[in-house]
Amino acid sequence: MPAICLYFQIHQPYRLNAYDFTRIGEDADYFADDFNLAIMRQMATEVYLPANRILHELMKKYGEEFRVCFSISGLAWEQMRVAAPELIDSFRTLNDWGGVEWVGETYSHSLASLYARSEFERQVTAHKQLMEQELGAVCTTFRNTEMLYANDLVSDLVRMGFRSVLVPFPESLESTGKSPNQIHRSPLSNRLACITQNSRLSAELGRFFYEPAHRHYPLKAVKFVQWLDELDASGAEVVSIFLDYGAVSPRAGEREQLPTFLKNMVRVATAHGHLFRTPAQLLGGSTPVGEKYDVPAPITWAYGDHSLDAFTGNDLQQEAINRLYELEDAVMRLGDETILRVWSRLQSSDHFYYMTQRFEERGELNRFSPYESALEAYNNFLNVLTDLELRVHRR
Amino acid sequence: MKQEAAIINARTREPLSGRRILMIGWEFPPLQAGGLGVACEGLVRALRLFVDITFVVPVFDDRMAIEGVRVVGMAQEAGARDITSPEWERLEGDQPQLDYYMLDARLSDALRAGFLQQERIQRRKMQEMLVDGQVYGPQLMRKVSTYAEAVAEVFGKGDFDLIHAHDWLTYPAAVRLKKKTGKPLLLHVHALETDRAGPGVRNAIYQVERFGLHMCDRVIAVSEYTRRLIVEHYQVPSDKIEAVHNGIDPQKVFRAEHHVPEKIVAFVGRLTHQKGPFFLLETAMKVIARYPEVRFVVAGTGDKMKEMINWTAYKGLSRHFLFTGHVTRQKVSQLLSVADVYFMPSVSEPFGLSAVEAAQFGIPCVISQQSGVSELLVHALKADYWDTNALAEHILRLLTDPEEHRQRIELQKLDLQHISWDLAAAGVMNQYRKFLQKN
Repeated sequence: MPAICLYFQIHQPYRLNAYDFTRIGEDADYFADDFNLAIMRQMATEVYLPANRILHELMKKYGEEFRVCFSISGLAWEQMRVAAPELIDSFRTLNDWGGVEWVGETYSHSLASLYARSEFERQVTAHKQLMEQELGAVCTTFRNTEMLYANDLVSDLVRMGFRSVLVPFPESLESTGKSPNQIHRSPLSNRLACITQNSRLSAELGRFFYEPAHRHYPLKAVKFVQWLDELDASGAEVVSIFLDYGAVSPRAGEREQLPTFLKNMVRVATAHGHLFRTPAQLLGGSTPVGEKYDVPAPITWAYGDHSLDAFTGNDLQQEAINRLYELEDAVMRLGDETILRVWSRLQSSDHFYYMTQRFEERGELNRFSPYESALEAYNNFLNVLTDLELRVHRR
Repeated sequence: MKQEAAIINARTREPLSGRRILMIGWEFPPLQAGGLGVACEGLVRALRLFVDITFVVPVFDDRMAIEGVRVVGMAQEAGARDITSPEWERLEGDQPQLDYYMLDARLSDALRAGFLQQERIQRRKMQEMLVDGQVYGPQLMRKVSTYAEAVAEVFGKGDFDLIHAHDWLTYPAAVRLKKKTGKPLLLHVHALETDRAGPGVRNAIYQVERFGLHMCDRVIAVSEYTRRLIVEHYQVPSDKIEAVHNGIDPQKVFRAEHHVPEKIVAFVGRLTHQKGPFFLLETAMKVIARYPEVRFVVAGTGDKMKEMINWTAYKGLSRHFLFTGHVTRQKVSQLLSVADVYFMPSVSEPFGLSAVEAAQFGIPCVISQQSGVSELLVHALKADYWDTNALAEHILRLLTDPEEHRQRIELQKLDLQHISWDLAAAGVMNQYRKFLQKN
């Protein structure tokens, strides 16, 4: 029976204050602290803590058979410290059980790998140090923001000590006879394993679980495990389910609740002989030997097109990101801790996601955006950025 | 001095005190969207010393109090009346009296049918229409015709000597009232639909304007520029029109230090076709290419804002712009206090108050030839709105030549001496006299 690799990401950005143009040059109070902490507090109480309790129960119950991996962005961790220290305790408890592999990522949940490689390395290193200090964890698995990946990342990852990387698996690869349910390796290195997401099954839990129009709604644990069982016949090694941890939340009025589903699914799956494994466990001490995972151009885990369009697809996003990263040299030369921290926070991919126009074009709301429109998000970000530019260049 | 002479003239020639002017307006501070309300208030404040003014608005607000002027809101006045009065019932059965917006034989049957439809609905909805509190907003045409009914109903007895109406929204009311009372009608043109929508426009608003301009006794235009457009696009004989420039209230001006290292070129206005947004961008691009230490601060919103912002992002020029979105008066002042150049590339600007405000703040102006204010700001730098090379040259000159910059400011100060509401009131009084002295 194939193993199951469960991975959860946690990230919360520092959302911006409404920063009017008259404030440019006047104040550097960019971040909506109260608002951000309130969101973290609410997410912790309503989603993260209850889900952690379930994972804790499962670890106690199934011991060695149940392991998961997490990546928590540095910005999320910082906000937890202030808004929800009990959540940090809860992660420490899971950590003490030895039930978690901590996955490395960029400190700010940024797109730096595309725009500024040295900044990317700085952020990955900062995040590694955070994980080591806070949890005593040494990250050997990496997951980039939005699972953004291309071959050219490999040498950097190997150099930074990673042995595996969580990556998307576009449908186009399946047509070449490859399967997401195998461990792959990079054509650029024999030492880096690529753990490929099973997009379809991940979407069943993430995107579609609470979607009444979806054909498998409501999804039962037995049915899900049956799909896993069926993969055994095709020689599947591991089925990788990658999710945002925010998805593991109850939803009012639903008969089937995802947290309960998770509990049931683990029960049924272990009974059927599926083990829940992390990349480090899967690799053991050995060198990966799988098929090659060859991705010349960047892809992401975005459902459907695997593109980065929701983040960098339009002119507003490109202009905002370009201007932000043009500051790199000046910020580094300055070496001012406060300015570096601000610049780093502005790199969160969320700020650019708020600028996507895809929702407005369909007459929908960008549910994760605190802004009324993409234009408003862009204007506000640019006002803040203009002020930061002034401060950087003034010194 | 020209201004003083005009004021003395207005005060000493046969006074018209005691003569009653019924002014029909639409915007009035604080319920306003653009310059119309500001202009009406300035004019009324200056005129109230010479004549009795009743100012009619769609919706009254307590803050509209001006000493010596009666402000009447139709929503409040007409709302108290029986809106299904016998007269109205009778009208319903008759061939509807559409003449007050009707306009013109060339108006299509479809449009006419639309008005008939409206006519029926509006009688029932009169009260609701006037009290939804928005002076613009949805169903504007219906509000306009409802307003006309209400004004004719409330002031039909004709206890006034002259009707003075401001812009197309009031023309149906004014013409209807003239027909009912036989009082002389003076229309005051602050803006034309051809300014907003281009000279080719022949929509319902244009038809309302055209009808009013032909039905009235005399026309005041806010500039010679607008006067020419009325002759050209509305075929009104030019001797029926008099140009009377708007004035401006003195305001507290100040200079402040700004924080951006670049020089600031300011634009204040709605971001609509009329204000020349893409001529602004084209000019800016030419300026930036030769003088990169510049930032264009674009204050205001409008249907072209999204496109403008996308364009600057697409060109990678966002660092040379700042789009402020909606701005309060106070923020406009803040902006003017730090600006180095004021830029108004309007495609068609009947007056252009914002440029005068900028001049008050001591900012040299670069404005389009196609504006009324260019007749007053003689010393502003001017070019045709499409001539973005010339506009860019003007801006560059002001940015790079401190002596030129200083001189323009001084010269514009001279221009400002000829702009006042007293002067405007004197011009209006001269028009009143044409009708009121005959009796």
